[in-house]
Amino acid sequence: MNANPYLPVRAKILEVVRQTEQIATFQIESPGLNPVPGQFLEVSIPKVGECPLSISDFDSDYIELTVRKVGKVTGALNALRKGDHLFIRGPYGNGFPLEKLAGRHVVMVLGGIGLVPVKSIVNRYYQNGGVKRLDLLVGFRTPREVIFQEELARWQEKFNVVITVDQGEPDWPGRVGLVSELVKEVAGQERAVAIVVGPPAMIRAAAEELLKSRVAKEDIWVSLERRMSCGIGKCGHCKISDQYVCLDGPVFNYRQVEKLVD
Amino acid sequence: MLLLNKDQITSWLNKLIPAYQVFAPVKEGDYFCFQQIRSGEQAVLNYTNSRIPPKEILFPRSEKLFCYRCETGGVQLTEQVDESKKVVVGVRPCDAKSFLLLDKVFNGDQYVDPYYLTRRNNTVLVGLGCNQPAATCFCTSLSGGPFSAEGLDLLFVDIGDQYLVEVVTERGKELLSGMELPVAGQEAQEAARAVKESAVCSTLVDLGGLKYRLDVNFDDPIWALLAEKCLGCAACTYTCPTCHCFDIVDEAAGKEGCRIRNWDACMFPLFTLHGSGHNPRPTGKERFRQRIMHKFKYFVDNYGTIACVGCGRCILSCPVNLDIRQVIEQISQAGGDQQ
Repeated sequence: MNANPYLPVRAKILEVVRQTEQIATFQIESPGLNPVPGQFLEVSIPKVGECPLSISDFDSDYIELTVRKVGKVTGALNALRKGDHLFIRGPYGNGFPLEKLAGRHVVMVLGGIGLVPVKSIVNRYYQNGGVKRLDLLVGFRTPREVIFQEELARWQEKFNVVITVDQGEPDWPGRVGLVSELVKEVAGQERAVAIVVGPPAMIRAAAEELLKSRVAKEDIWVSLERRMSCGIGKCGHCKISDQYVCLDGPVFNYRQVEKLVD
Repeated sequence: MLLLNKDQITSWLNKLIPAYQVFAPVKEGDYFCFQQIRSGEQAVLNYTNSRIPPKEILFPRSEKLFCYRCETGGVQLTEQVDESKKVVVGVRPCDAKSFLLLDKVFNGDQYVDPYYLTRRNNTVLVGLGCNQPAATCFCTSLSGGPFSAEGLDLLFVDIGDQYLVEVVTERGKELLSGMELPVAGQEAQEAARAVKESAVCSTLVDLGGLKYRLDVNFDDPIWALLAEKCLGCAACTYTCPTCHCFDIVDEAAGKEGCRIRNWDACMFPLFTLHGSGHNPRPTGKERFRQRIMHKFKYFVDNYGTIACVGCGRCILSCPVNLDIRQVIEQISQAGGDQQ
């Protein structure tokens, strides 16, 4: 019998960085996990429960999770401090097809915590290069919800980073409006490849804009979010059409996403 | 083929009970259910079928995945995989087939579910053919049959005072060791043939065009129409031998707790509700469509076979008389000309 995939391992929290009132980043020790950017972990707290969380960054000895407090488990997680422990299993899912991005003009259209699953990719391009050009379009609801401020500032040295908010505030120096509206400013001149992560309505709007800017469907990669329990293709929650988001995704090509309806 | 006298059943089961957990149909109120029996007399084999399928023996409606104790120094996890040997007696052929379908999910290419699979590998299935299929039975429409031995280790055919025993697997044969059963003579075989011939599923559901329709009818108005009647109670999924969705929760008191999985159902709005509040299947229409699509299209796309065995439990359990056979017919006929 194979090892029991439902059994989690204990991992210590090495560092906690508060991003916003609702969102925090947890650096935890990695028990030799070697994730692909875009994969996720099933994270649990005994006596509370388990939920799937996207990996925001990683190295050989740590994994970073960036979590918004929305429910029971993420609420309890938000209260944890450096030195506390949580339980993890995974990594699960397919991750982004980085080979398709290599040497290309990459446009990322991200909504809020949609920035989380691509952070490690941007960091690697920042450190080692690897793409011809990177346009990072990030939308947040309000200025107070901007996460990874340090990283975004650093990335601006090398990439075109555009931050927009749905609702501005008097001292907000940046753009106001939907992130999908920014697509036409950056895509279109050359054949770009795109990554889209965010809420469903944003994904739809962003994909429409990308297609208008003549980005090919097969060059658009979308990370989908679904309610999940098991993470290993058994529990049925994340099933859309004949695909399990946990196994076959969460990253899908737009040609597939088009057909994934429920 | 062997012969087993009906009056030998009790002693045979009593012989198995020390070596196996023996499950058999027992009467509970107005219904039958599969329960672990402590004595052969408890088994009732002249029954139609259980209200809840024997699926729950291998995939319980609620089961512990592991338990833990939280101490200051750390957390101790204890795995809860059930490795006991089991025999299930009186399994109807439709339910036996359902295990072959559940295997496809739980014994996946990438991940194996050790809870289901350990039980599955340790369980011997003794079938009981259906002399009188119920009015709600339609297994023959799904390549099954009242005497199909598919998925079984032994199949019993009721020929009056005796069972004609078809030995399907070695594991089944082992269950009979020491019984020294006589080989069925021509008379018994004739009797079995007569029984099989007279067992008829009265409904034939035409599934021929269904998959073609489901491949193209996602936006058909038929879904709203069909879902109008559905209450979303999910009784159909809880009594279905092939439904396998579950949810994982923690239950704890004091320092101790367990991670538990419970059956869940795509008919419930919470099944797909995101933390953000977004629900990709917001109304009964999407949920009803999901249930039908999963059984008759997605499962076919994934595994090449329909995830329905024609047991008819969903027809019996539905509080508003939604009949899957009629649903299939209505879907097949709606816009049928466009094929």
